[in-house]
Amino acid sequence: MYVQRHTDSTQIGSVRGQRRVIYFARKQSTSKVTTPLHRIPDRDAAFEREALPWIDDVYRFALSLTRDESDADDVVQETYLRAYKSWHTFLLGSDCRRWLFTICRNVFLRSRERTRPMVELEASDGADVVGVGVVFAQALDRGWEDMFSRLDLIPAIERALRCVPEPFRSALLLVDVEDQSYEAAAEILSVPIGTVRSRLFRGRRLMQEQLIAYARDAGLAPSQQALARRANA
Amino acid sequence: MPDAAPVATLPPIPPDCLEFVLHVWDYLDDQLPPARARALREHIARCGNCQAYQAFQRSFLAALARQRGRAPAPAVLRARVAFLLRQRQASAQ
Repeated sequence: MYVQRHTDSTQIGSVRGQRRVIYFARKQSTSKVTTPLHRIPDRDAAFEREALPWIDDVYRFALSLTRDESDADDVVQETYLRAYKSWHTFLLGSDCRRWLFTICRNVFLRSRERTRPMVELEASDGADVVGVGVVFAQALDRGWEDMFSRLDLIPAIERALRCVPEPFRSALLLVDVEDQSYEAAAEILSVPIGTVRSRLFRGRRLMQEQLIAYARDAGLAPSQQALARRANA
Repeated sequence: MPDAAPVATLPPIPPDCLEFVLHVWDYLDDQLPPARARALREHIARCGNCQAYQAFQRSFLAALARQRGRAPAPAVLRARVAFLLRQRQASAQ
């Protein structure tokens, strides 16, 4: 006896989630298969197929939350154990990475509740607006158009990410690094989209402050375009 | 040491550019209503300062996006998670 198994995942994805779309599209090409009943992939196989491939992403997210490799290991481990336990609630074909991020964040929050009271900062838009204006003026004055492509920023970004406080870091990581849409980030963080937007604004601004300081320390000179602009002024 | 110059000496933001400066990320993330996005697009097309600032912000976001794929889960962690899952699976049967 044979059964047909369908995993229609083509609805998944977003404008920002191109890689995810490709991933699911590739899977779909082999998704309609006939399988002997005695070999129907059970929940364990489905879990391994759908959830385990995202372990790098979950680890990166956990690391950004905990800022500690050992704590991140614990959070990832607990995330997968909880995900396995709750696998029956996961709708096959929906966004597994988003689901795992949500669990990961909950695990992190629980672990933090145990260790210290959670104090969340929120954006103070007034100060940020001034900060953005300063960055604009400096960027033009000092010729930073291509600053981020002229420096090896990998170590600086890793360091700066750890300096951005919660809850801004989560928003920044989900949207800018993990390529989640604003809507997906709002769902993962259990906040309105407007909150994601304001946290992202603050997180990006704090990140830029750190990277600009790094570039200044590295002695980044004005770009050729900036020098030409000054010469023409 | 030019970078130590106080903020007060920096040129002020031209009023025409202010809207773009304040909403550059919403613009780049395609989060603005179409009419506002169109107005900003038209401003950028004729403003060298905002073109430069857009390039600056685009390269910032691109630098962050390049972080994806870095810091893979350690092999030991992968092995531990796989082992624990197998244990759970075995005990559930």
